[in-house]
Amino acid sequence: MMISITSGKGGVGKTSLVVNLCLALAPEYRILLVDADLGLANVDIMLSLAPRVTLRHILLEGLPMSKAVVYSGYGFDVLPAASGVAELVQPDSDMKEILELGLKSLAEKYDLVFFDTGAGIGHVVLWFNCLAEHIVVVFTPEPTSLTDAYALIKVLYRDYGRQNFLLLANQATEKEGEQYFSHLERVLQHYLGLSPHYLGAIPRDQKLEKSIRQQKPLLVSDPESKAAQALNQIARRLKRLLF
Amino acid sequence: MDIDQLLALVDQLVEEGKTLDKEELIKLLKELRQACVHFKEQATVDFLTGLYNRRFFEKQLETAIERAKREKVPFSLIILDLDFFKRINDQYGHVTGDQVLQQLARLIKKNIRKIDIAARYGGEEFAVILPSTGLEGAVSAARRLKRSIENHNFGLPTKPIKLTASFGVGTYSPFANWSATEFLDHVDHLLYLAKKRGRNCIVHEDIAIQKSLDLEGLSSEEKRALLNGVWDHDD
Repeated sequence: MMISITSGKGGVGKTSLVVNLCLALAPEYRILLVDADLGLANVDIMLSLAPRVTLRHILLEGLPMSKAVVYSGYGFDVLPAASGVAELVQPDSDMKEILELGLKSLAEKYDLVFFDTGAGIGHVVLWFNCLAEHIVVVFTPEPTSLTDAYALIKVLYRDYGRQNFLLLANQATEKEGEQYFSHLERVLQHYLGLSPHYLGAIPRDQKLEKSIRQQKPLLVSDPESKAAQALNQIARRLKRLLF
Repeated sequence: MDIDQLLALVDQLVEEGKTLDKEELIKLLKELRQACVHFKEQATVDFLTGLYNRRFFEKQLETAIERAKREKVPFSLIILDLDFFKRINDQYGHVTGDQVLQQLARLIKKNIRKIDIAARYGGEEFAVILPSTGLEGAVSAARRLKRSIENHNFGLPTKPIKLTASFGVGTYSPFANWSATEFLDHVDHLLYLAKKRGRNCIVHEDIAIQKSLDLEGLSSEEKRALLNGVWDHDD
């Protein structure tokens, strides 16, 4: 099953969130994390991997996709993107076909495949969100994050016909998360007739920031922290929704 | 040589064993080629306006749908129909009517991109396929067309003829799983709604989405709704 984690606005803490979510689900499922920000890789940095083969070799040099898959060290696999490769920012239709075929055949070996998409509403972001069966939209309690999340959902619904959205509040208390979600839900319902699901909130946590600097996932470096507990709870909710 | 003579000569060559020298053969091939080009054009181009004809348009629509599904990129379709065109024919005669249609075809061509495919779909009904274009882009293009038709004088400087058109605009989303006929019927219905709403207007998709469709992404109303309210809850 392919699931995209996306946000519209950048810098909402998507990548560390996905990495930790994969970790939380890893004991039970076979998981592949795809760095879908094709030209500006982040996942490998966050996990301090040093992949020798990346999506660049797959898309530009024709290597089979399985060659680029690496073990994260934490119970799940990673398909790393390339860093600073401009050709991958706007893949042409041939590259997209290679990507789609490769990802679909890779996905057969996993229970869950997560796409960590880039920011914005560019073609590649929309493309990955179309390939995924479920879309998780991450927002933070800030005006720009809220409007960007809404704008992304609107485009995906109106032009691409996607209808099921899971919302996740990051850097928000439980109360903030619920408030902002129900507000977003009202606007989505009123203007687009959409009813999104809510996955929960992850609080701001200095331990999370520290874990990012140390390039070590929070669920490993500080599994008892508030943010880690919230992440585990969200993983459980996601599991219930998906399986 | 006309086409009957050409066919007769080919028959003689194939069935009766007639032979030609190299020069004659090249001349025959050249004539055959020209005939092919001519027929190909006839098969795809509308004789009066020079836009694509309905048959070619329908083929292109099928192709566009296949592409949308494969590449997961939406495309849009505009169908427009001149308002009260029958009156032009009745009042000024068919020659003028034909000239109006030719001018309209030129206006359409001038207002769309090179990648867009414009066709004469029926009498005074025209269709434009806009590849890789979502609803906002398509509505903008329709607005541009509507304005240029309104502002155009279809008659002489001394005897002006002013016309308007009605528009249906639809977007094919890669997950819609509609057939070409279903999509066409959908946009045709939107055009019908535009006529019913008093003509000279653009109708796109359903009302619910129209509420949220202003030109640039989010409407000011949506932005207000998103940004007000939630902050009031703040302690």
